[in-house]
Amino acid sequence: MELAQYISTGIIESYLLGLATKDQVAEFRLMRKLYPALEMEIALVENRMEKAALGEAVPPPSRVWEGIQQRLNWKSTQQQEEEDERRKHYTFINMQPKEGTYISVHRSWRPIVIAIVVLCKICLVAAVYYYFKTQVLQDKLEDMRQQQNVTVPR
Amino acid sequence: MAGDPAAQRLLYDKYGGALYGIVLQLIPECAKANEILVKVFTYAFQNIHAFTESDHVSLFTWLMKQAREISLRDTSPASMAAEVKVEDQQLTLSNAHYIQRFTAHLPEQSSQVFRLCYYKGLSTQAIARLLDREEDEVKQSLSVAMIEFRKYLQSNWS
Repeated sequence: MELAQYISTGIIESYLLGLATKDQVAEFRLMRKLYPALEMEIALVENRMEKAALGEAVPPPSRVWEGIQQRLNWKSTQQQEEEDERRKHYTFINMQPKEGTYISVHRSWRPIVIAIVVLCKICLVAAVYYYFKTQVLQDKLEDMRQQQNVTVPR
Repeated sequence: MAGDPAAQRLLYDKYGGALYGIVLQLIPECAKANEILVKVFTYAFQNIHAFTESDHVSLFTWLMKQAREISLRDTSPASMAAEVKVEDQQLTLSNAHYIQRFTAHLPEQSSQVFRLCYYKGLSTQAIARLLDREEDEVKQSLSVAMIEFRKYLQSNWS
């Protein structure tokens, strides 16, 4: 299809008003890729529509702007609440009392840390036990050597 | 813009009135139109990335499309059905807007189809059922309307 003929069907206007069907939108996107010159025409049509609408502007009441502000604030509060809800699943460890210097650790780390601590304690007890046991054995060995020295004269 | 109040205010001051005029044509009820405009700008401020990802060249036409979509979405099906029944009276409440003036000069069939399509968001299939006409006939009427709309824009705002 010739570009000028395509444009004259009002497809750009139809697309911008949101009246184009899915097939027309798909075709329009394809035509934009095939004919980069179409971009200039789209910009022109958008400019005409903007001029037309600006010429027919109706000042909205001041409460509209207030409503927008309230909604934006409410949304940011809602986002904050969602963030707080998400944070509930984490345990925060305050490594330093300074504000804004936290590290966060997931709850699943708690049993792992407990297991590590218990294992360390078991190792420590085992180390002490075997140390003393070794000491006792060394003492016995020393005694036996001394007895041997006494019974076998040179 | 998403977090810059000055940029938000600038955009609102520039396009608020133009969009309000468009919304009032779709929903001729001030309280509801105010609510729609609030939603349009809130959406725009929080989803400005959607504009950069869209096919639109100008921000205004993107906002215009959002305004129409939100207006149509927020119109309850019950009120929509009631309005369609008396659509001629409803849609001629205000003839001040440029789109209203444009439809006034269209052939009757094209005007009716265009209004049902633009103001009510009905598909050509739904319009064909509503008016008890063939869908191809409805599509043809809409094509005529779009050709005329292009000429109308060219002759008045070039």
